[in-house]
Amino acid sequence: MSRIILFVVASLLLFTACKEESRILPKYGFEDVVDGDTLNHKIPPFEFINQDSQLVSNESLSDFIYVSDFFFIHCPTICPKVKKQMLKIYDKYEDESMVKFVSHTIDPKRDDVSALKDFSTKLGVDHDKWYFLTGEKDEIYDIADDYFNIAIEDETAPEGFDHSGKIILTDKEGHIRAFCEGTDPETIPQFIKDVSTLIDEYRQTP
Amino acid sequence: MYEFHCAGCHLEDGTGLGEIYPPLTKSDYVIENIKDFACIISKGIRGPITVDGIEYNEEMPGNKGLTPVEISNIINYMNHTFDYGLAPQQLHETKEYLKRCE
Ligand code: HEC
Repeated sequence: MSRIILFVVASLLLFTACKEESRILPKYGFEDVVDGDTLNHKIPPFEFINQDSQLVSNESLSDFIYVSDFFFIHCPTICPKVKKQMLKIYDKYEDESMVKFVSHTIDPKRDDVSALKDFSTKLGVDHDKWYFLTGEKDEIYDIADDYFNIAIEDETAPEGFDHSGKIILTDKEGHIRAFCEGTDPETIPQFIKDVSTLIDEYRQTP
Repeated sequence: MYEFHCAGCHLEDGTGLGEIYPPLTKSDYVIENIKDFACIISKGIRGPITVDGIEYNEEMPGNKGLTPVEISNIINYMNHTFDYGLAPQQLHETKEYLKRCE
């Protein structure tokens, strides 16, 4: 009898171990082969200015995992929907120090530091937790490509921009580990789980 | 109609966003200013307003292309969906209200 119990316990353990295994998040993007080694796609080094005129770079974010999106303030179509979902995720991880939020404006001409400051204040979020970044237009568009976002200036789109509403999770090493559609609230619960999975991954392997 | 013209900013469920886009659900502002509602939709609104105790000072663009029938439909759709508890607005009323901002 005790052997049966032992067997059951052992297989249960095995089962949960496998389940944990399968919960490791993928690393998205095309792989690069450098000197015969296959490297996962990474967000290249970057430097932008946040709503407090502070520099935010890949280095300053290297101790954090972060949730990012692209938007612009005068966007009458999808941005507010995406921001609403970002806020939902933010509310969930407001007290989790490992997580930061990064919103890139794709309209740096109008969205300068003071406009972003005003926007973040009105959104009611902590300026040390959620960065609103601006910078050189080309650099913003380049990094958007790196996040697989489509941020192409399109004269026919409302307000002159067309862009995707993806919300992206990046790990401490700059790998993209999860994403969801900010315009589709149904994709958010899974994304929130993915953020927790990534937090656990770092907690388990310090 | 609402979905297409308004939900981008005020969101499908009408809850708005932070202190940027005011909510339209149970908005005391709408109910108190129901006669201005048609004009808000048609001409937009700017400057400081207080909705459910929160001050907003942004700008909402107008919808010049909308006909009185369409405006009336949006108002009645919102009244129904967001439960304002107002009597349905008749087309001649909407037309009357629209004269306020011509
Ligand atoms: C581009 C974004 C945008 C769009 C699209 C938009 N609004 Fe607004 N709306 C605003 C902003 C911003 C304010 C606050 C204006 C202010 O601060 O004076 C506002 C205010 C209002 C108000 C008064 C405040 C309140 O919450 O009761 C009403 C009513 C309203 N909008 C209804 C509508 C309706 C109906 C539509 C669709 C026909 C619409 N809006 C489309 C941005 C928008």
